[in-house]
Amino acid sequence: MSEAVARRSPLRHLLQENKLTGVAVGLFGLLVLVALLAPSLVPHDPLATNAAHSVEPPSAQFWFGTDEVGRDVFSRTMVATQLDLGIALSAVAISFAIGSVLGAACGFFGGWLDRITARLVDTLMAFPLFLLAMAIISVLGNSTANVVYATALVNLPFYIRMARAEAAKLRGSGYIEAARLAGMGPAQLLTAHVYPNILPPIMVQISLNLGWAILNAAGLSFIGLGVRPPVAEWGIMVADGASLIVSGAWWVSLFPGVALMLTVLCFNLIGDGLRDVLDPRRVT
Amino acid sequence: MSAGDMSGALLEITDLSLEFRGRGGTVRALEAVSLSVRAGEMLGLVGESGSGKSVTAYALLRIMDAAAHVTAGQAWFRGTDLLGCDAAAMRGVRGRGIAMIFQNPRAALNPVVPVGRQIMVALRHAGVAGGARAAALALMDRVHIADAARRFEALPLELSGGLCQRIMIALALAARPALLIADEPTTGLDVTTQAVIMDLIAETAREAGMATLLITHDLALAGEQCDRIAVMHAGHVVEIAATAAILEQPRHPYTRRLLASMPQGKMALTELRPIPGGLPDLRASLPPCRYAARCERHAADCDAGPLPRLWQDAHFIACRHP
Repeated sequence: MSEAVARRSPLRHLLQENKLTGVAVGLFGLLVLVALLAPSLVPHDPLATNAAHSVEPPSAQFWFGTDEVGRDVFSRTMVATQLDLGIALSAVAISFAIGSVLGAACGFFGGWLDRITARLVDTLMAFPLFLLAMAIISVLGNSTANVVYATALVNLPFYIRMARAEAAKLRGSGYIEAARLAGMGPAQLLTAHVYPNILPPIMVQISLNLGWAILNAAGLSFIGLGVRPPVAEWGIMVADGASLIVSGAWWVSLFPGVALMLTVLCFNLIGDGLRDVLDPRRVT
Repeated sequence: MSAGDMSGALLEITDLSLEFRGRGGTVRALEAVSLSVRAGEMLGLVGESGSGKSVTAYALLRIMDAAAHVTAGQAWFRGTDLLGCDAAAMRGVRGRGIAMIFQNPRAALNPVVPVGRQIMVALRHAGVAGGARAAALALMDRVHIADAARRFEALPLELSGGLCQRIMIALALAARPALLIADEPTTGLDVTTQAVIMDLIAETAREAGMATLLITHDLALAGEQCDRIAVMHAGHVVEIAATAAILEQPRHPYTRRLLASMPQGKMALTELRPIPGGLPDLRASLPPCRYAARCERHAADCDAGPLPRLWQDAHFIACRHP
């Protein structure tokens, strides 16, 4: 009874729980690898146009075919991974950093900070989020950085709400009381006792949110906001190919679309797996 | 702090009165409670549930429900009135001056942080700058946790109740407090573990020259370790004396009944003598002696008050007919 149980590492636990999650984690590793290496490995310059090879179907020379101005779809799809993943990761990192700290403080301390923040969050959530992101970019201007900020801002309410709810649950718990009795001040209570407890559920949120952030970024680019052509980006590429589908050139849109779909699916599967592992009702 | 100075009081509570004001009325939980804890000693605070022993401790550290109001009294601890000082002074007293361990150690530990790390946090808070990990391991050794290096990364759920209580004691020791308040530290542990944990508390307190206020409903438990025992009944302190005097020559009728109700040796269940009646309703208007309704020595002059006094210069008693 007094023996400490040898604990499995969380990652190993995650992979053993669910084979599908293992596949998703593998896919994520592959995505990161592609994002890092693609720019130096792809067979063609993703920006180089070639009028002689306009809208060619997939072949040995152009694996995914070429687009209207003769750029290699394979090279563009691979190179775009870095930009799309980068936008999603930095946007989610910003929302997480601000949202979790602010939410934890609100939930734990309550008071005027909590009341003001709660109203702001309610206001943000009253807008259709994609429209809000569009509006922000229209105001701030068309740039990759602004896509990141807009995506981060529209995701912020979810992090604040979740951190707030989790932190509020801890307020009356025995160990918070005990730590307060040991003379700890508010800041120490937050970092030593509140924050570690709210992280697990937020990890799930992060993973699910990454998929949404990628879709958001691609969606903005698809309608011509945010990342600007000729930069290789999945949303722009799908938009480029959309008009060609009618004439039978399916490959221009399909491959970047599949890349987008696989990435979002990968994040969602990881999120589901994390939720299964971290669900308190399943902890023995 | 010199452990040899047994005469000086480390903590001096005088005339502490506290009430809970709620919709159902006002509960006068403590009335004119006076007691002192001397440097280095272990004082047992004994009484049945609801007698006000834990409330006294919580009032000292000011972690009370919003409904609780201290209506009178002072509590001096090393030059600070705990009941009147500001929040910053209170934070300085908590942990460093007075540490507390609880009835349910597992609930008092953060479930997601490895226990060794929780001790490190407490050490850093107490100002141990470098080598907190080594210091935490040393503390775990000091509370006799075998194989401390392996247990360092364990979560509270992976440890037994006894081990969790040892971790709590290590946490309390981290800031080198002058006074340890142990609120029913062995309730919820099995009997053999109870004895071991009590020995550990007494041993570490002695080593550190730390005074201990042991709150318990178990007179026998207090009798084994404490230097002095204070008996509480319904918010009053009824008797305070050296442990031997309480156990062998109890003066207050309540203490006598409490002793008589303890099971001894091979006793049949039918031989146990429970104390008649229950605690009075603290919301109602009460007679000056709150034990009067249960007391077999009750006399007409008891209504003039329990006449608190020192018997033979050493034995505090609040009863007209001891």
